[in-house]
Amino acid sequence: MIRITRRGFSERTLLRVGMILCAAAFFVHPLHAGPNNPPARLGLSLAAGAFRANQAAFRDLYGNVKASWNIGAQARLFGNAAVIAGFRSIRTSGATMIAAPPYGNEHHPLQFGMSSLKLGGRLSFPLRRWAVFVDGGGSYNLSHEKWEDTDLSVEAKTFGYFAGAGADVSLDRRLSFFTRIEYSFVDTGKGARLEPRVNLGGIEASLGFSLRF
Amino acid sequence: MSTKRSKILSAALILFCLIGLFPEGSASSRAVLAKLEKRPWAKIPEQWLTRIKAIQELRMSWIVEIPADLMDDLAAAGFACSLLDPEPEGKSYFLVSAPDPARRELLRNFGHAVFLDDDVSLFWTDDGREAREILPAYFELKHLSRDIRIPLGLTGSAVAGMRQGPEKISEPFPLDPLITEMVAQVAKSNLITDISNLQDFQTRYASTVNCQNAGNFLYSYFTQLGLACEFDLFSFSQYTSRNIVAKIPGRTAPEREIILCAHYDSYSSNSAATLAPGADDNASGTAAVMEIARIMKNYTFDYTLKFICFSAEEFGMYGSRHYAQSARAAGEIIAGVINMDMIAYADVLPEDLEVIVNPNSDWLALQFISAANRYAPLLTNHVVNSSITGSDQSPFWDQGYSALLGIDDYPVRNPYYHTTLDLLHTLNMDFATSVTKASLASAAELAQPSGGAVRPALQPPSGLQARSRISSSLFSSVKSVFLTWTAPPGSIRGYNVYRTTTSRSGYQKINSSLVTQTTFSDFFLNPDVWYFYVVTAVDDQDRESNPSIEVRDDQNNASWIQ
Repeated sequence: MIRITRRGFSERTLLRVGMILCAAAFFVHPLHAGPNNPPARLGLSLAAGAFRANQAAFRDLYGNVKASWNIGAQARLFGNAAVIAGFRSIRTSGATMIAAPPYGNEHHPLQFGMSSLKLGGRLSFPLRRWAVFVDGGGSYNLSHEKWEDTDLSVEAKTFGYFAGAGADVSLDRRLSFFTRIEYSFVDTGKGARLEPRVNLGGIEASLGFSLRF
Repeated sequence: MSTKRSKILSAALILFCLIGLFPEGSASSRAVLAKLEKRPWAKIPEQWLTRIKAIQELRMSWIVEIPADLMDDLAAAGFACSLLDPEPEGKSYFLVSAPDPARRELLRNFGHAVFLDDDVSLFWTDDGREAREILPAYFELKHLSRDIRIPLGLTGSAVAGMRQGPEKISEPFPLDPLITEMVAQVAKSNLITDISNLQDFQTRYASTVNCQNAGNFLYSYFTQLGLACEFDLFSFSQYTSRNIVAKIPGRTAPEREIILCAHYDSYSSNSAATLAPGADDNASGTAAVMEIARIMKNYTFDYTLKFICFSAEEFGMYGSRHYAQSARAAGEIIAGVINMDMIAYADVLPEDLEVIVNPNSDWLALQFISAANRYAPLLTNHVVNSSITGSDQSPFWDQGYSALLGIDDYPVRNPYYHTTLDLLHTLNMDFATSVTKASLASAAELAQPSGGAVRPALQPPSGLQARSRISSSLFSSVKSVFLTWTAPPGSIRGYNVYRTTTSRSGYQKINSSLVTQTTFSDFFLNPDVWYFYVVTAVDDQDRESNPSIEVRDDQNNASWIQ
C-alpha cells in the first residue's frame, strides 16, 4: 500500500517504490495473464488532477493546490512495457507578493499558465482486473506569467522530467478507471526577487478514465 | 633552591625559543606597500578585504598597505598584486605624473620610483624630503596620505579610459532665469583684475610670506563681500599654511554643501625665492572663485555654497587633503566639488575645457557639461580617469566625495606652466570668462537658487520623502516608489515630479498632468536601479519653483517599520 504523506513523495521514496514494483514485475508478468484478458495495444486517457508546486514562492503567489488537466496516450511495445505521451495544462490566477522591504500592502493581479508535453515509458503489472504501473520520462514545458495591470509578461520554455506511479481497474473490456501520482522537476533557470531560480515542478495527484484499443 | 633555579632556567629557555620562532610577532604579518590590479572578475573574500588598506585609487589599480602574507595568498588566488616597497613605515610617498616617458625615467635620478598606471609613478626618497623641493618643475605631485582608508571596490570593472569629444547632454531643466541672470553678471574685467592682483604677489610659493599675504588678500576680499570667511590652518613638512574658506549658508538644506575651489599657491622652481606669478596656474581658477562668490552672494540657495582657496597644492595637495579629511571626519555632506585649476590658457581656438572626474563623480561631469552647454556656452571634453590625481579634486575623491577638475588642457599644454613667464598677457580671458560662467551655472544648479533679490520666492516643496518596495511574481520584479512632500506657502496649483537614475542630473518629468496632491506613486520600475526624485511646485501664475531636495527612492524606507 502506498502511503501519501502531507509532504508528498520525496525522490528517494519514489525510487524505492519503483524498485519494489520492478521486482514485482518478475512475478506478475503478463504471460501469467489469462487469454481472456490480453494486454491492450493502445490506450487513451483523460484525467483531472490536483497540482501542488514544490517551491514555496509558487504556492505563495498562486495558492497551495491548483487544478490540472491531463490527456494521455500509450502504446504497448512489448510485454508490460509501453511508451506514453501526454499533455498537461495548468491555468491559475494569483497576486504578486512584496519581496522587500516586507511592509505595506501592494498586490498586482497575475495570470499563470503552464502547458507540458510529456514523453516517457511505463511498466505495468496486471493483477486480474487491477494493474499497477510506474512511469517516467521527459517533458517540454511552456509557461506564461502575466501581470494583469500592466503589459509585463514572461514566457519560459524549458525541459524537465517526471516520474509517476499509479493503479487502474478495468470497468469493462475497454474502459478503466485509474489514479496516478506524479513528481515533476522543471527548472526554468529564470527567476526574480522571490525565487532566483524557479522550478515549476511539483506533486500531482490525478484521477481519470482510459480507453483501451 | 636548585629545583626552583632549574624551573626558572627552563622557563627562560622556552621563552627564548618562542622569541626565536616568532621574531617581532612574525615577519609575515608586517605591512608592505603594494599595487593591486583592478580586475572586473575579481572578488576578494571578505576576510581578506578587512586586512587590505587602500590608500589610493588609480584607473587600473589600487595602492594598498597589506600584510606580506596576504600578498602571497592573493597571488595564489589569481589576483595581480605586486610589491612596491617592503618597508613603508616612516616613509613619505608621492604620486608623480609625467606624461613624457623620457622624463618619467628621470625620476630615478632623484629617488626611488615605480611606474604605476597611465603616466603616474610612485616616488619616495630615503631621507623623506619634500618631492616639490627636489623634483623638476614639469612633474605634478600628490602627497600620499597613509592615514586614510579608501573603500576598496574591486568587484567593479576598471574604467575604460578617456572618452574624447564634446558630450551631447540632454537638457534636464529649461533655463532658469535666476541662473541666467547670475551668469550675465560674470565680468571679464573683474577676472583680469583679480588675476593681476594675484600675480602681483610675485610668488605664492606655499612656504613664503608672499603666499601668506595672498591668503590675507583673499580673506579680505571675501570678508568685504560680506561672506562668512575663515582661515583653515594646516601643516605640511616643516611649514604651515592656510586655506581660505568663505561660505553662503544654505536656506532649506544648509547641511548639504557645494564647493567651488581653486588653489591660490603658485610654483616655478624648487627655490622659494624665484618669481612664480602663476597667472594660469592658478590665479585664473582663484579669480573665477572670487568672481563667482561676488555674484552669488546676492542670492540665496537651498544648499550651502563654499568658496575655498587651497594652499600647498603644488607641494602635493596638502591643503585640500587637510580640508577633505577634516570634512569627512566631521561627517560633512559635500554634494559636489567644482575645482578649477588652470582655466585661462588656450593653445588652439576654439579651446575646450577638460572636465575630469573619477567614476563615482561622473554624474557631476554630466551635470557640469549640461550647465556649460546651456548657460556659458563652453566646449568641454569629458574625461573619466582616477589616475589624474594632480589637482585638488583628488583628495575629495579619496574621501568618497564627488568632485571634478576643470582644466584648460590635460596633459598640460601651456608652455609657461610652472615658469616665471606664466603671466596674465599669455591668457585667453574670453575662455576664462566662459569657464567661470559654466562653473557658476553648474554650482547654482547644484545649490538650487531659492528666490533671492529678483524673483519673489516661490519656494520648492519641502520635506520630500521617498519609500520604495519591490513586488515580485515568479519571473518578474518591479519597484514601486511612494513620494510624499509638504506644500510650500502660497497659491499652489500643483506639482511636477522629476525622476533620474543619475543623481542630480538628467531629470525627466514623469507626471503627464499636474499632480494636485502632495503624494505621488511611481510603479513598475526596474528593481535593480536606484531612482532619484525631485518635486517642483507650480503656482497659480504658472510659475514653476526650483526643485526640492533630491531623494533616493529608498531614502525613507526605515519609516516603513513605524
